[in-house]
Amino acid sequence: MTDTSPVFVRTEILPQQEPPLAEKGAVKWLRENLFSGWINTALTLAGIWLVYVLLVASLPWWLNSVWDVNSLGECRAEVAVKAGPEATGACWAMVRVWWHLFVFGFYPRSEYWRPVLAFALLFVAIAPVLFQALPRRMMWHRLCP
Amino acid sequence: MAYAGEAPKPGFRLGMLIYDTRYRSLTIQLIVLVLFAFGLSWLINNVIVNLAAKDRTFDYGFLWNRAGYDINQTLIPYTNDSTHGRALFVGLVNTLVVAALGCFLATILGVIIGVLRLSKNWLIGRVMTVYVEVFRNIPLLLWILLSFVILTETTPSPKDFRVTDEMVAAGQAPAARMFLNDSVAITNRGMNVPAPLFTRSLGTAGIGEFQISLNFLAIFAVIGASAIVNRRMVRRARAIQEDTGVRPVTWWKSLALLFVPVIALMLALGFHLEYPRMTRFNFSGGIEVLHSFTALLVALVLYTAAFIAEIVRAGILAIPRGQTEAAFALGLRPGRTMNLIILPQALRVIIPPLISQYLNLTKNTSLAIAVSYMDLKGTLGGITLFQTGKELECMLLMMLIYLTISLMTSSVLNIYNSSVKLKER
Repeated sequence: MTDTSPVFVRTEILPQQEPPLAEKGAVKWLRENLFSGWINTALTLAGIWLVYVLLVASLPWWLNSVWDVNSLGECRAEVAVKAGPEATGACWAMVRVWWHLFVFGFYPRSEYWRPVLAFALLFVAIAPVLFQALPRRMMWHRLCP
Repeated sequence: MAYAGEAPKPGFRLGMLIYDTRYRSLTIQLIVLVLFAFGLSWLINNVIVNLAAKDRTFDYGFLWNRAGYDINQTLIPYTNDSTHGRALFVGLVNTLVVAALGCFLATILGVIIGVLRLSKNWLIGRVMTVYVEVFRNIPLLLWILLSFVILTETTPSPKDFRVTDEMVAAGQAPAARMFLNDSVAITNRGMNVPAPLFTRSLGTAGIGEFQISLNFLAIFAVIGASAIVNRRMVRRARAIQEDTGVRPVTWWKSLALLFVPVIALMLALGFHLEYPRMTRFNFSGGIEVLHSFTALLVALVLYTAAFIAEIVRAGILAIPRGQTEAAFALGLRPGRTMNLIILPQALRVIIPPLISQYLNLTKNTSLAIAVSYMDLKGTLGGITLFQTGKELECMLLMMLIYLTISLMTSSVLNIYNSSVKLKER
């Protein structure tokens, strides 16, 4: 008669192990989405290089932008003070000074309330089309009931 | 027994024109047609009356008069003593060149970007999305102006290339250098590239003022002939492979067929390059490609490529995923799956919208006026119009020419489309 009792019997289940480092979290995502083969790796590196070049070329211009002056000359002076004489910076002050021209054109300044009022009334006028469920009392301006 | 009553008399009353559904649509169409004809005749009459009131005629005789203005970039010989008609052809050739090059390059760039946008690579997909959205959502005119400004503002002026005796004595280098072994110079005016010349030229052939260089004609003919022979050779190799299973070695035969005849012809013609050289104030010799041309081409290509990329992406996504999976199951690698399975089927979806993009690009070349590239709009619709005052004639002729170009492009591409589309029997 042979001894059928095993020498060793595990009585409790082992706790789950952490997946390998390459198979979880950010590393797994990076390996699958950016470095899944040599072509993809080359493409990723090319993409990183492209984004880097674009950022290096344009970021200083964005960061050195000036809003609160009144002329292009003051803009340049302000940028030179902020980031040195060689630096370039966006002069958004032009937008701040001329925004009324972009919006209203050459309309007389004292009469701006008229286009503004017309613009607001536009939304009042299209409200019945957009919101069928509004209470009827709010629709007093509707032409055909 | 009940009989059906007598059938109504087939008589015709005038009211039936409106109340009878058999005649109503005809009546309406007739009325609209008459109104349209009246409107058209009123417009034409208006034009005739007003032309007569201003004591002007409608004729194209001015096309044979002296033009008297210079064109900064001409591909066919032209001086300011040439006729307005010849200026028209200079502009037409300029339009066609930029349109053809633009379509070619935009297709290549668009297909690459469209495929890359679908890539599994997260970064590349995002970068290409940004490219497409930026370029197709900003008006083309702004891109043309931007690329022109970049090309002219960031490049050195011709005097920066000059080397004076004092600079040689002091051991100084000029401020700017030429590229590619002193053959290409990029200045703020344009790109100076070497010009092809032939010492034993075949001359030109043609009718009257319209001459075409026999040298280039011969070179193109030889390239075409060797391509045809090469294709026949490859087809024969494939037939042998299908018969016996062994593919004959073809790569060196292909290389020899494609290159030896052309090189032999060019040697026989005495082909050489004339390099641009710095003279006192500017480069002379070679060909100067003005920045107006380059800027227009770059902007057109980048802008249209964004649209073509979306068309290509739509075409690829239109192919069911099962096709890819079946190809993988057969053991094809991703590259061959794309080339042999997906793209040939996607082509059917891609080509019809692609044709309209080509037409768009061709018509968009008329924005060249913004950077004073003298295309058809710049010559016939620009200076010729202003000098002769023949607005109606110039505009009608220009519309007719653009219409002809577009119709020819679309009919040629429609033939191609019907050759690749799904054959349903």
